[in-house]
Amino acid sequence: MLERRAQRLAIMFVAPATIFMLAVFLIPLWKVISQSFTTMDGHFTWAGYAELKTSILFAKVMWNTIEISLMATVVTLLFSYPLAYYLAKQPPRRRAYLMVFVLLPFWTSVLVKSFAFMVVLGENGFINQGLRAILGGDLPIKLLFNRTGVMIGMTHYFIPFMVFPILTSLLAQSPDLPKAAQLMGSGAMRIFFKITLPLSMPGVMAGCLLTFILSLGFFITPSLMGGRKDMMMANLVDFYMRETLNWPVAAAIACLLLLLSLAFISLLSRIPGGKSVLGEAG
Amino acid sequence: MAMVRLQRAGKRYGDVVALHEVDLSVEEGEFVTLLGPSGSGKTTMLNLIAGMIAPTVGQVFIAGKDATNTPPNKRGLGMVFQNYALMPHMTIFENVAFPLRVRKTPEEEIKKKVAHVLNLVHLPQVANRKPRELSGGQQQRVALARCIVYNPSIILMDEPLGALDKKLREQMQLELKRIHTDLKITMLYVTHDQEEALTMSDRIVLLNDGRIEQMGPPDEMYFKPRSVFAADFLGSSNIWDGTIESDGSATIKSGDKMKVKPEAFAKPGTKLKVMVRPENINVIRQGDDESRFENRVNGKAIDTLILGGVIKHYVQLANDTVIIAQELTRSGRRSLTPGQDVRLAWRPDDSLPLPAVGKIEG
Repeated sequence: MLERRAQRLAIMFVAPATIFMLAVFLIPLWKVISQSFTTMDGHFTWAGYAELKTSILFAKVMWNTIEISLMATVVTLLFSYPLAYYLAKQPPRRRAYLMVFVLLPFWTSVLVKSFAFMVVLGENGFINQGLRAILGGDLPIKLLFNRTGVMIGMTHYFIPFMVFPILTSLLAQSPDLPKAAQLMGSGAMRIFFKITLPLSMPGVMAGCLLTFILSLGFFITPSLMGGRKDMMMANLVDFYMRETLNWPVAAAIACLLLLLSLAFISLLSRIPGGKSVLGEAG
Repeated sequence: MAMVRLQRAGKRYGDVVALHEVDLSVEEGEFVTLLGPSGSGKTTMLNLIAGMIAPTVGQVFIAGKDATNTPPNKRGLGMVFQNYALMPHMTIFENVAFPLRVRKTPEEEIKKKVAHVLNLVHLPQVANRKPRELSGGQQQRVALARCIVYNPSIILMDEPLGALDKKLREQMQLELKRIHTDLKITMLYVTHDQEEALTMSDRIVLLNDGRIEQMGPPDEMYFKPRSVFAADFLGSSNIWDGTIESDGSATIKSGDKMKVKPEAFAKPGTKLKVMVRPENINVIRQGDDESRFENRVNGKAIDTLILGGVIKHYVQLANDTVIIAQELTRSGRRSLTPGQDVRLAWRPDDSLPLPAVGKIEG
């Protein structure tokens, strides 16, 4: 009797979100999957996948996506680790306050930020004007519509996703460990490379995987801030949808992208630090 | 030679004084305990010696050299932490080898030394395990081995047994004492547990509110406390308000008069405290010879507690004064019935006069 009541309550709590997700996410997702096997006039086809198998464009973009994602992950890591390390050393109150600044990128949409970056980074933007004023000459540094632009935009977005798992694994370390090492005669470098860094590896791994997965599906930044060579998978989907109107191919790419992401997410769930990112306690 | 010496060293944080200017020296091979309630300054003192904080005033000497401005990693100290502070990602071997690797010891020697110290702490079989596979007591022994292995001038211990259960704690106390005696290591031990301090120390430094209240060997600390704080903190005690009479004896709040041990400060008319250890108070039963005890009082039994090896009797005197008497448990010894008349007696030498505030100087 009680159990059934508890069950009814559980359903009441979970049902609204479930119905909503079903309507706006799962059904469209099913449509995409079925679309990848359906011709424009409604027959079953393998053609979408078959075309990708031989498409040089697809292979190129696929490689491009992985390359950009890897690069973005590495650059983000280089920026985020020192940041997380610094935050971990702060007293809790100050850390909470500084954390707001780490989260600032979330306060505006990627689209708005991309346009803002275009103003700042453009040939007559803020940065180039400043450089010209200091260095003279009139060769602008190209910060936009190339790989540099994509990296700036993506890194900016990813930093919080990298900082948090690393910070978590740094804070989980007993503050007595570096203290003990120091008393045993160890210098700062040895403490970092032999103790702090190895113990924070789960966080680093989790942050890198998360960043990599997120960047696989990036769309706005490469399309607004990148050049022609910086096309990524999501942009290719857009291209097939709107330019060539080849929906089965577009859907097939979307499905492959989803599979790729799923593969990495399952990897994420297997590493120690990944559990915290995926919401599991401990 | 003093392995560690604090010379008028003190620490303040803004207006808050964590440690008033103190002098302390720990001799080679000595086991000194810093004892005190939390906030009494014992951890501050330890951190001053370790170099984790700098003194606001005064100097710190280690092995005869002024180390006031020496960073922790150049002080040549060892430290054992309450939570062991073993590196969780390293094997026990690597943990113990860590300080040797810092010192660039050759690999052959490292192997020999690590094996040797693991033997010393009776854990030769755990070298390849990770810390989490060991029990708390074992981890603490490894932490100790990690200190012994590089022969520091002094080993600091910050409540090292605080995380262990009572039985294991007692076992580890003996183990620590054995290692200290065998290797003649200098140890500075921090604890708030008075029993631990009494069991292990050559010398106890009792801290109160950022000052050294009293220091000395355990028996002296126990039998000759110089203040109410010291009497109360070490062991249990009966402490009453009293006044010294013209004949040198004291009258306490209950109206009972008793002879006390003579003390220079306890002049007639002085208001002070009188302290008697519960184990020195005897319950007089029918047929007992009470002539040995010059101090005698009558009261009514409140309660009797059996604490395993000992029994505690709570007895009510006049004016809401309670007196606690402690006896060894003997089978057949009858506990007191609440309300029953009780006669208690003790020797004048066991009633110590203590100043109402402050301490006996000298």
